[in-house]
Amino acid sequence: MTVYKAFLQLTWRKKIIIIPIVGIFLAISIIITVTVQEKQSFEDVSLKIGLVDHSESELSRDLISYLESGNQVHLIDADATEQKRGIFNDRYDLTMTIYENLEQNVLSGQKAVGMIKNRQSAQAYFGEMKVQKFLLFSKAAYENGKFDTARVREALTADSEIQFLAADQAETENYVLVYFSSGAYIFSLLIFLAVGMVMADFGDEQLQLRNEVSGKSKLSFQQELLLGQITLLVISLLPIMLYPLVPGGNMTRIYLEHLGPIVLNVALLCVAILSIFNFIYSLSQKHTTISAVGNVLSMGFGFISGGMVPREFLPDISLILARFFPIYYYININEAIYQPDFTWGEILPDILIQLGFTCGFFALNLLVRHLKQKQWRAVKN
Amino acid sequence: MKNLGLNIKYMFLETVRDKGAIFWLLAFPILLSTFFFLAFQKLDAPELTTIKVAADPNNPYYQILETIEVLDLEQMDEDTARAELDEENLTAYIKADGSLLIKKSGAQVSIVKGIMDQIIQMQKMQLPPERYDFTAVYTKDEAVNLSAMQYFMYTLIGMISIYSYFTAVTSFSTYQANISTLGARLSVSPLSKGTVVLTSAIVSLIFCFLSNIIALLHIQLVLGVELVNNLAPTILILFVASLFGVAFGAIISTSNKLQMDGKIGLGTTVTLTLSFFTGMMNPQVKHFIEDKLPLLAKFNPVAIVNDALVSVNVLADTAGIYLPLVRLVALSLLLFLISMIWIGRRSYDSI
Repeated sequence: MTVYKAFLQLTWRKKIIIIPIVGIFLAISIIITVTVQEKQSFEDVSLKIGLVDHSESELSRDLISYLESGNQVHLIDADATEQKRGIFNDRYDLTMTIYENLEQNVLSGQKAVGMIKNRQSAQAYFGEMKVQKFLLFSKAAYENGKFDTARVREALTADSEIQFLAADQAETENYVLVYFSSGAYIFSLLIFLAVGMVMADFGDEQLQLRNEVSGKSKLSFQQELLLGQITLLVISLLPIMLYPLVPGGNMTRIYLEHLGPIVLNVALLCVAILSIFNFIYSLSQKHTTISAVGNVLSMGFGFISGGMVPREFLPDISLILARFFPIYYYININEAIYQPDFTWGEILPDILIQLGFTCGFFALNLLVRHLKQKQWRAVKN
Repeated sequence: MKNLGLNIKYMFLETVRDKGAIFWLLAFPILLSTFFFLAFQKLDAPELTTIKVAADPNNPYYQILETIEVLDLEQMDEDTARAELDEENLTAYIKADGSLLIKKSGAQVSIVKGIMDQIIQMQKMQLPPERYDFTAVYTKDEAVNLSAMQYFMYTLIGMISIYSYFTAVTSFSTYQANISTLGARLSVSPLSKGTVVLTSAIVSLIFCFLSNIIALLHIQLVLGVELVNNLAPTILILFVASLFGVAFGAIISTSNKLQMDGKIGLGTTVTLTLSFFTGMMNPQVKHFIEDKLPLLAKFNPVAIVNDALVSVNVLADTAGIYLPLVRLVALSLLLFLISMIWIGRRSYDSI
């Protein structure tokens, strides 16, 4: 186990850089889940509204209060440019400016609320509809010199019933799914960075020459190296895997319910990426090159496989390209795990493909090393 | 001055010959922006025209629904509608009691629900129809064309501009005795450390700036995503971003005695984290940081570059970029200064 021990010693020497990397990636994973909203039943669109109230009248307060139910209303004091920036940055779905003379304008049927919205946003249309309805009702309920907003608010509590086509549509999305979907990119990059950093020392030319003439077989060398890499990975991934146990509640419950398939899925992804990493490493030992390739592959395939963006928003070409990297199959499995009718048979093809990536790249890695050794011997002779 | 020119020339050639550097400078931005382009092509939904819904012709609400412009109403019985919903050819089926049958939640379903809610709520108001002024439009719209693709591409440019730290790490490290044999020789040569720093900084700046320009040209001309509407301020922003990239590379290179792999790993992690805080993986993260850690949001270089590019190219607001850019220049100078101090104090008992 000389190679394995050497690998662990090198890992220990690099702890100062590996620990912060793991810490930062854990923080990234946690922040992603903090920004996710759980869906458990019919979800009426919750709008993010930036609102400037120049009227500060009773009617404007009632309008704001109505908008606040089910939506996130941010009272702001921003000019049109800043409002547009907020929409561009997805902070708001739309912004509203309630005019100073709101009440008079409503009574005379004139414009009363200015809106800035993205032309393509259905959410913005929905928000506009809400305001129009509230003011339409308010004017209709205007009696004896005042708006009967209590009547309007009471009427607005009535709503139509929603029935889902299938009864089990609820709880299709949850923190755990998002946590592990976005985790794909993190797991992949962590392998390239952490393992890559330790492996950089194995790329030393002098050390490689010594390895070439040592009595240790190539297969045994690779096996011990792989064992060391897996040990490093397990330690690095442990905080990310343990985190869902911390918040308690739904997240922990869902995590524990699906623990087996989740762990298997992460393990399959990591081993497959590790295999790809080792193949790339057999071609080039330069850490800068490996790091660059790792960044492009992890982030690029993380995006086009549906790790960050829901797959319904991805064009077909992206999903076809994504099939050439293990993250795609990891996401497939991750999305299947939480379905109420989940069966192991359903994810079997994805599991086999992940194993195929692992074995295929392991074989390629051995082949490249064998060819390099042959080349080296030819040069020597 | 002649020496400085020669040093710059040799270091420039050294960098050009480094395949790793060329990958980071050329291939990395091009590949990553292409991946982004593939991922975000469909993110911009087409403008909302009509929503497909269905109802039985005997439905008491049918005639009212027919008058609503945004709805594309079809006559259908419930069994057929179930099949159409399952195929996602239909957004909602409206039943005789006013309830909706849907497959999944979404903005379009919410709009249909909003319409049905309004019909039910008007019944609850118990006011005669003539009290409602349906001709009045109380909202004044300003619809702007904003694209999600642009949003993500600007964050990418922000990240790439800082990612160019890589060249600076390589350049500055070339002169470190524990990293390269050239560094070992130089550390005992009479060459002044000031010249070393200046040479590294100038060469890195040229490369960083070129890298940013190439990324921008690729996105704008090859991928066809319109990012630049205001050229001069955009060039200024990219130049300042490159300056920061170099300063960041210098600090990564000189702040520790790690080998190159450690320095690159450190830089990559910090850059990715700053990009993540700018909303590159999820825009909500940007707002989370702005709300919870405003100081970090204010001094995050990737966010500064991203916001400045959006200001001049999307919002046509050039005046607002100068203060953040001054902040970025000040941050760069501070990092350079610290690097100089560290380089000045650097000595080795053993290499």
